[in-house]
Amino acid sequence: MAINKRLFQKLLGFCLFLFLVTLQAQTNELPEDKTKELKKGFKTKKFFNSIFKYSTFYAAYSENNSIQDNQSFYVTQDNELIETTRRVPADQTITYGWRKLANFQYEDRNKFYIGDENNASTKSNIGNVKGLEYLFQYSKGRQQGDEFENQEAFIRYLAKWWLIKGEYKKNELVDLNYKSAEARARFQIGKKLSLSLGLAYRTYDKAYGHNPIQLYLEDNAWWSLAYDFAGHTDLLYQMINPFTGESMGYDYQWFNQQGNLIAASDADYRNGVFQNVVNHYNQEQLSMIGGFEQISAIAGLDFYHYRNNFWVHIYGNILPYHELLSGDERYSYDNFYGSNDYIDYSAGGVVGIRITKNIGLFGEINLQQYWDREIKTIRAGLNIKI
Amino acid sequence: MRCVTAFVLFVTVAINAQVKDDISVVQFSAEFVKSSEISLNAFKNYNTQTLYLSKNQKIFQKEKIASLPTVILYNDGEEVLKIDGGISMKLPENSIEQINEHINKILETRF
Repeated sequence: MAINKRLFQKLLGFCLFLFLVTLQAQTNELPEDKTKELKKGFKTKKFFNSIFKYSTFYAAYSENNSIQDNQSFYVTQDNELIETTRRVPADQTITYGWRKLANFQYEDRNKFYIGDENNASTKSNIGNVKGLEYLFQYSKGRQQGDEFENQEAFIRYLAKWWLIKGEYKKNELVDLNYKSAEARARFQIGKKLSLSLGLAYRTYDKAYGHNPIQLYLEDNAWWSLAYDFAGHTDLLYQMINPFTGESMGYDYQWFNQQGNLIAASDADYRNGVFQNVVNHYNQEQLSMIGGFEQISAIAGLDFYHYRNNFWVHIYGNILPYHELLSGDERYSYDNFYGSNDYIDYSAGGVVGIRITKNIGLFGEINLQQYWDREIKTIRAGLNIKI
Repeated sequence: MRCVTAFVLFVTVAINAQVKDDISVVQFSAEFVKSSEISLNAFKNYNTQTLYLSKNQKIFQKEKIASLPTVILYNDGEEVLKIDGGISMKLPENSIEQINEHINKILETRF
């Protein structure tokens, strides 16, 4: 029985040896077209890996209590108390996304992506890996009772000597809608500093700097807007003191298109309804002007250094010259500013120091001025672990 | 003037790059073991460098290189993998596979 077992093992070993030899021979004698096919397969795999490997598809739902208004009441003529507190439904968001964005070492890595990540990679010109990075995200929900729909797309390819980047953002919560695309040459100085120079295409959907209502009021009285734009009417009345019968002056009552009273005086009207009229007029006039497309020269700087006890990441872009590609030139930002060499910029930095094992300092700053819009965020702090 | 000084200082610090930044594959070698070196072309997407004992003695001492050739994989200053030739002065045949495996692990933690 033992001999048979040994014989069986030997036979098995021999068969395995034969199989391997045959396989080796087959591989060595692969016809040329088969080799080409294998190489093609390898290239296809490499291509798909460069796009999809390390990417994450995510979907998330979140719901939080919204901020509620203070309790408010209305007392009727008959002394009846009616509560008028506005009940705000819970905030909720549903997000779908697909991302392949490398985190910098100093960033907190979430176990799960939910779509509210603050990605430093999309702000800086370089990522923490070379090659393709992207983020596509769609969210829909409700905040403080207002429905919103946000869309975001970001794609960048970082090579040794160049980079291309495309971005699209539509954020209904902050009324933001823009597209941008960049192509730049890249110059690395050492391993930490990278300079870049190229062209940036940007769109903006508002005539920044221009204020239609201001122009209107230069040539017209404010009540013309109420008559002509809102279709409101007024009625002059005299105020009489009921005890003395003396005149206390004149004022106007205001009525909407249906003839309903909407304000008892000019001051009431301007403090209330007329503010909406002005906002609607501005929005309507701005939307009639339409959007703009422009191309700008862009130069960038990125510096990234990371060690466990000290890290610094600085990034910045300057756009010193612009050419309008499309849009009504009269309302372009170039026209508002008076020339096309105004300076737009975006810059940011993150720094962290672990002074001892238990004490650490951190700071973060982001600045941006595009057209007449400024964004500034600063965060700094101290951590002491006890 | 202050801005210029600050910029020059900044660029100097930036240019003074260390061999261990980001993902770096560094081969420590010497003229007499050149034939035992491995090609670092497979890692061209990362920082690669071959340092020779005759020109970089301080770095060899600092990195405690005991045998030649030695290949070290760094991730932002931290040593992740060290492969050396040992007494045979020859790197293992699967060195490139080992390094690739560890690079993949580093990349995985970044996403």
